[in-house]
Amino acid sequence: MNHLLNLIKKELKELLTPGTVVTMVVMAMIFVGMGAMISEQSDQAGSDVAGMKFGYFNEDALSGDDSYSTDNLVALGGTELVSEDVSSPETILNTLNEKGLGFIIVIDPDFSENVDSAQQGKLKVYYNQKGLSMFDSTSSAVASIILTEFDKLVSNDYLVKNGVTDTDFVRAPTEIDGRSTFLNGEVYEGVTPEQIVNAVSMQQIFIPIIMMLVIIMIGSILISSMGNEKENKTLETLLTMPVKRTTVVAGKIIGSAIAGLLFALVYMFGMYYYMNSITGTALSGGISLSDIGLALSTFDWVIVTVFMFLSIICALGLCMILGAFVKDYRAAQLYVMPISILAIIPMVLTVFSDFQSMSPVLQAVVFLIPFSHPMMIMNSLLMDQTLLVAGGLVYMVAFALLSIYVTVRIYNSDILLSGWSKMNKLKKGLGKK
Amino acid sequence: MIPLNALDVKDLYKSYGEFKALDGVSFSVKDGEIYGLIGPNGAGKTTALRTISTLLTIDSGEIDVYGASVKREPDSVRKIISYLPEDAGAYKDLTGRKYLAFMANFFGGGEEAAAMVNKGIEIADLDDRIDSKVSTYSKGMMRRLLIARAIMPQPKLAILDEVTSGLDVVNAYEIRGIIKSIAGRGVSVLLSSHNMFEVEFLCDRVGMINKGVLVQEGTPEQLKAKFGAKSLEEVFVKAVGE
Repeated sequence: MNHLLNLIKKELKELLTPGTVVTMVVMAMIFVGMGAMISEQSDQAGSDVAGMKFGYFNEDALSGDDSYSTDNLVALGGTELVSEDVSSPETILNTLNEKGLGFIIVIDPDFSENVDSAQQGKLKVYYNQKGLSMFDSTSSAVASIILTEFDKLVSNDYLVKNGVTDTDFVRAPTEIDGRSTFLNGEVYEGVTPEQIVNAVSMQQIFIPIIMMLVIIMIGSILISSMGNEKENKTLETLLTMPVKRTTVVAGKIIGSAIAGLLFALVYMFGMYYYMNSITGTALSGGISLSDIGLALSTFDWVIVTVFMFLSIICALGLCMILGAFVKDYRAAQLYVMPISILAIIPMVLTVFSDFQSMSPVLQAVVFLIPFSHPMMIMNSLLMDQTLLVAGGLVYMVAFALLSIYVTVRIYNSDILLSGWSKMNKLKKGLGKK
Repeated sequence: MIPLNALDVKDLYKSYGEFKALDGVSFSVKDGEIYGLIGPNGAGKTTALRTISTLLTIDSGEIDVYGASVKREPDSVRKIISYLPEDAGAYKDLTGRKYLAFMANFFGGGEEAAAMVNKGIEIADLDDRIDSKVSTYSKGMMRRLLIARAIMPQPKLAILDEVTSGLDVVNAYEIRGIIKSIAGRGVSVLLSSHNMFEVEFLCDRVGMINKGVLVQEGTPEQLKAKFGAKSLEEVFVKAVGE
């Protein structure tokens, strides 16, 4: 036990260097910063919407009671413009900027005449877009609201002119009296499938991202450390110490797993803050999962943590096997690539697709990559996919044990020191048989 | 009762694929003796030392360290040997003292480990630099630390691969002094070296290995007499050239 503790302490000292700790904290702070920025942008966009001004230039040939546009435009509260303000694209742009307008509506000369003859009245809209971020589309969102209201006012006038008194009923003779969505045998009141999907995907995306980051980071650190150990021959020295090879392997894996979990916790803190910042914004679908009773229980979170830990153990087992073939620190970087690819594939697949909707081949690929399971676990638990959860658990335990067994075998063989030459010998031996 | 040999290597074979690194090597190291294994690059010296140190498996043959079989009792062998690989380093983020403490913990805990570390610090003789990070050490300082690590647990057999390789004259001289002194304190030593003057100065007996075969063995004086040579270097050239 003392030997194991001694090795774990050594591994932690090697893995948690000031460099890796700073990288880890910086990554978490980036998430926190991103969350704060998005929250600020969201608030800014909200106040932009509330305070957004618009202008209009009315060319409608009809006026007074004959016009469908004049009074209704005034009722909407826009700024009236003159023809010089909208005479060319350049003047329109100047007007938008100088008067601080989000958009300008220009009413066609035949507008009222067209409406009177039951044809659609024409108008043009000029938007002022400041950038390309998600929140820079607010001018069109506000314009949509204003134009919908304008549409309503014009249609009201038209209906009144044509003898209809209850205009609201004619425009909306039906009403949705409650929404319910059936999902996985459960009924969720007051929400649409779109709202559920938006909320679920935004709130569970952080597990795949964290797992991908942790696996790539811990894999890179462990394989590099093995490259370093081989280059400096510290591993050679360690293996001649009076300590069992299984203890050496266990020390490396446990030490790295602790470091991996630490990375995961720090990243989770950053991602949690980030997700909290965007919850309630348009990005989250406007609802939270707990509001509609579609949240994970404490026991579910325990399962999520177990899956994350097992996945880290699987990653470390694979890294130990790959690390056995690394000759030095430089070569180590190349061996990190397979681990990175195996972490990125399920991350992309599980974020953009659901396991159940994948083709059987893709399902097999995703299932066989042990890192997929913690990435899918939140979805599986929410959907009560017990078989997938149990299968994933059994598979990850088996994968972790097998990779540890193979690692111990490698540590007891010549491969660690002689690399591929022993493997080639084995291959030739098998070929002869 | 006949005292046990420190090391008995009998008919040792070891191959890497088609390449025979050791082709029936046999030799013994007596208790308290310094035995030098010399030979050109690729002769099989490091493979022999790694096999004896339980790092590589044995294709065929037997190796016994103080009666314990490397093949069947590797854990027992590791308790009584100390191996120092060629160009070895230490964990760069540790200080010299912490590196010695980490290694000492494999041989015991508490006061026993503390005493071992104190002994290691004394052997390394690095003064205040023992508390500096290993990454700041010169090659000579690193080698002194590693020698101290290898000797502090008082192994029965110290296995040293090219122990003074790449060191300046002063550091090499001091390291040789340390090796000579430990042999007088009951530690048997098996070393490999390219430096014939070093081997002649240090070793009680010498084995010359070439292409995986032990071609000559004896005391430096016996070998010089046998080949009518003035130095081991001359013996080596004549023996390998035959």
